[in-house]
Amino acid sequence: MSGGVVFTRAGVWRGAVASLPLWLGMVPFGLVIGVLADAKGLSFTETVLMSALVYAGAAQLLALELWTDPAPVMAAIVAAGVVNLRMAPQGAALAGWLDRLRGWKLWGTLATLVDHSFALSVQEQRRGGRDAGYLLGVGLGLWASWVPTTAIGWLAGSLVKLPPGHPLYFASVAAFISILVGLWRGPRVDLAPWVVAGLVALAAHRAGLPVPLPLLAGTLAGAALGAWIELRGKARLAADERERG
Amino acid sequence: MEIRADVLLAILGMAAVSYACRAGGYAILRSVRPPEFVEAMLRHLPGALFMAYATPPLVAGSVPAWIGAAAVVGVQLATRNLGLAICAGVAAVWGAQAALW
Repeated sequence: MSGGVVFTRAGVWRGAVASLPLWLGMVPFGLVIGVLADAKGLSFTETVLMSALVYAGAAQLLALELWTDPAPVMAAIVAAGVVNLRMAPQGAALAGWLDRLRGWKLWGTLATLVDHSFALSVQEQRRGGRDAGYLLGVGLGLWASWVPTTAIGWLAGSLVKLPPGHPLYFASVAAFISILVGLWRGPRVDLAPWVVAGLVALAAHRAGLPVPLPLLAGTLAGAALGAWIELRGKARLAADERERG
Repeated sequence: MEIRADVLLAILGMAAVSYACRAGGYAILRSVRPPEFVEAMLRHLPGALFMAYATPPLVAGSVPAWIGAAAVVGVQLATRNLGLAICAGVAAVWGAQAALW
């Protein structure tokens, strides 16, 4: 595939069109971010600036959950880093396209990388797609809807002041739960790591550790256990094959 | 047009670390293959992260929160639509709170 990779305006456009159906799913998520940003005391300009520059829903949501006044600079950066670390292997997985790009086409396209553009582009690659502009198109199309959606959320939130404990605030937990449902790969792979991640985070939270330490501790414990189980399984499989062979 | 210095610093920091994940991940993983254990941990990171986030508020939460969580899981499984699942969860919490109090 690496031979014929191109980067055309038509490809960018096709990607932007492909992103259209995803807008609907993003709207409630963007609204939640906007409402939450308003509730945490961010101004309209600050909210729009964050969506435009960070452009990562789950990271913004988590950082805003931890938000205090004055802004928790370190906690917000750590939260964004931990949540977005998942995108590091995504860029590498798209190397078949990205390796053929140079300059702004490469580094600019990477700036727009999100879960949805990654997922759609992997599908496009598997269909034999050779136009790397597609990746940028999906990323830009979603960005163009993301920023105004969070802005509208902020405006709605500032019009209707919600009391603490209002059901709408459940939306942020709901967003993470529905993401979890999509990530679930079955009990053998995920059950033990997920339970451990939740329990360690809960224990650290109860022990009074400051944010985002409970989150970090739970995440690392769960991911390490998942990795250990996965590699042990692989080693066992290899040993079985050696015995049979 | 209010932008406070501390908020701006937090936003720029978040943007920088996010770009480092997007671009730096590609730049590094293209040339250096990380240890197998680190690669496996990266695969397990998202699920563990969101569990670590959602567990404390759910355990501390009331019955409506659990009803809401069940509604989110059910609708997400049935429709695979993030937006619908979030709306269903909020609606379930709203209804449960209204019914219980």
